[in-house]
Amino acid sequence: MTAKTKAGIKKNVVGYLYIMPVLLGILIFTVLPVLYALISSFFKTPLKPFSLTEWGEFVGFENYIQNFTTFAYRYYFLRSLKVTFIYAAINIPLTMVLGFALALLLNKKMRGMKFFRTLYYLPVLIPAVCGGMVWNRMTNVHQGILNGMLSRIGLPTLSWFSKAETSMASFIFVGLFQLGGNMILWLAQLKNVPASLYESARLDGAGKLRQVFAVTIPVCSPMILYNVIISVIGVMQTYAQVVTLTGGAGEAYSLLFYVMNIYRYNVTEFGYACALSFILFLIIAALTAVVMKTSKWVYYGEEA
Amino acid sequence: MKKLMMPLVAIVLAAAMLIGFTGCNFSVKPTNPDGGKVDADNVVGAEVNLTVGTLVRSDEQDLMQTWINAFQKKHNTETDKKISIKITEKYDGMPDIITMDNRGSLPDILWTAGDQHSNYSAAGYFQDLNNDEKFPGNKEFFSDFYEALIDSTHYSAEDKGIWFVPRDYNRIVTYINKSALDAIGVDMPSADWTWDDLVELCKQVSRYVKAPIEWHTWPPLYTTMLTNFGGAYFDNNGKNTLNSAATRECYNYINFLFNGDEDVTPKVKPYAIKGEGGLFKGYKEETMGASSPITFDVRPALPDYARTANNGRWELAVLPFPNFQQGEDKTPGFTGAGCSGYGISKACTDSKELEWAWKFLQFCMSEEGYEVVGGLGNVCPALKSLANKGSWRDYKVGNVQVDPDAFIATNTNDIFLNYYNSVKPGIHSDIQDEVAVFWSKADNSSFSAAIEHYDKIIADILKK
Repeated sequence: MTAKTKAGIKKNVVGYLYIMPVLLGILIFTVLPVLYALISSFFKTPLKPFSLTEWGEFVGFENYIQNFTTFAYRYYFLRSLKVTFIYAAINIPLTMVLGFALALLLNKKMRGMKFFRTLYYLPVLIPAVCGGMVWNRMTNVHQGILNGMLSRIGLPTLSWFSKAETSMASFIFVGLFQLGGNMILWLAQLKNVPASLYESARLDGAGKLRQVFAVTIPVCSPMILYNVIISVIGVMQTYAQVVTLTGGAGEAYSLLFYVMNIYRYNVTEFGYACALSFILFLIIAALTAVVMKTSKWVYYGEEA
Repeated sequence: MKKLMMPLVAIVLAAAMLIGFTGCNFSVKPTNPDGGKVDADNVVGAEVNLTVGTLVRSDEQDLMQTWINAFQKKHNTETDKKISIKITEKYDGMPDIITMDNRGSLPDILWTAGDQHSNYSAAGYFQDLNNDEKFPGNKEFFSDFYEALIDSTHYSAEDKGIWFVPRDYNRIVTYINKSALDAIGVDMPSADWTWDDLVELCKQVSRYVKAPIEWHTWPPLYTTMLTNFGGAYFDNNGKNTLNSAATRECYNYINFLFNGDEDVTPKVKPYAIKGEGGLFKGYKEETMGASSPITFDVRPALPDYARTANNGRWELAVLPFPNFQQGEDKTPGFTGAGCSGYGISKACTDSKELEWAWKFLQFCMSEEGYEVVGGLGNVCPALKSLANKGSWRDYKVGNVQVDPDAFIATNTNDIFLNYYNSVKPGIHSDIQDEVAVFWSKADNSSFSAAIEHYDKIIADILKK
């Protein structure tokens, strides 16, 4: 080590000490578990307690390969992927469009608007587990308040999560009550749209709708990109809401999301569960790369 | 316009709130009036300290704590404190055992489900209570247990080990809302009833309710039906035998139970609707059509049903599972009999602790032990000698008391529910999952599609 390097370390020692707790936290609670899972994914590990010395039987890439070659694994892998993608394909655009519409409405200058903004944002503050438990009760087919309301006003009751055909639609419906998170991002971005752009558009004869498409959306496009990426990552890891809403993966695995499929194996085939986690990591990375590669439509301002 | 908006929004919100309230029922009744937590009698400075893991449900904890308190009282005096037992782990299900092991907090005694222990027993999480040296007197102790329960203590067909002490004799029984039958004007069936009698009852009742039977989507119930139809999941060599004419017949019959028959005139209404007990418990005289007066369940559910009936002021009755008579000579059919129980875990290694753990389990599942917990109502003893005696028979909530003989009926033969025992233990839970998926399709999928999928997956699972 050169004298210059030593001096550099000495000079920055206080800084290193400041970041040490965070670094240790990341190392112990993120890096090491990821490494442990990666190593485990190459072993067959039935009913395995945590151990750094006993890994089970080394099987190389078998846990990865069997996922695509053995029907019993492939079936649930593809099913979980299908469920997750269907949910992502419907939920992400829907929440973005509705979040945008809501933000446009709540961006108006009107008395009491702060109250409404708070009201719409409140459900986001409720932990997914608590929200799930509440919705579980509300959507109970026989005793739930929602079916109670429907039958009292003479409408047919719904099967909600008790039937495979209706569970996905119900899950998307329940998810809409988290719209506030999306709305708040839109609102923040809408505030940043320079008024001069609207002024110019108006002078050029643009109507309200034209202003939205020609000014608001392009200026908000970096936020849209960010939102799409974060939503993809979040949706691919959907778990807690489904468990608390259905107590499992719903009727006949109709809501078998990808992470739920991982949990099916976390006790009896821990190694395979780890392999599934890394396959998920690759899928998310690929999707994010696709979104980034196709992000030429994003407007970063004149100087960018 | 702006002036108009605010009152309009307020009106819409108020209307939405009013509609919301129409679905509310504010008369919240306590669901567990005489339940409540049994306080632990803590013993300090005992010679031996044991730990117990039990299910997180309050009734499970109450049961274990009642046993612990009685056992400590029996063996400790003010001056001589021999034993202290504490519930240190409360868990949701068997996979939590791995987590406890990871934490190094595996208790000495563990609750287990009779149909879920095999993976863990085979992996060494429980100690073999059939070991005469470690657990003296075991042969005599286990000789009084029901055979179907002892069968479920082995982790495979070849295994001779006894990995836990069965706690309860859980035969499937029929819970019936007698008040609903009275209101319809239908006679209560007798205890020696058959499946034909049940069908006849359903025909009469289905005119007044959505579906007479609330059907738990519960593998023991399906397994009981399958056995009555002559089907089986595996043969003695572990070969998948579900794809058979008997299974097809059973599957189609269950489909008929859920969907009725549109091809006959007048249309036969469904006899069963899927549920978890809510339709049965939700009975009210004025809205009887929305409830189901019949459901199949086991003894541990009795306190809940009895309290509900007592609160709702309706009469609860219990009958044995109807005899699904076999063949033309009408020999008795079959009823599933499962159990849960307690095993001694691998963490209990000290000889003194082992001795006391064994002594404690023998106490719990003895005539004396069952007498102590009889008042809780959720246990039908696993001992044959207690079939016709003991406080478990006298359980009563308010005016609700049911016939205890329904739980120990001999109208049908017991079948033990670990149908996967002829295949290796590591894949039992996978098979249970697939069996559940198979039967869950019985109301809306064809047999051919369901069995084709099942066969393909089971073939792969058997190769694991």
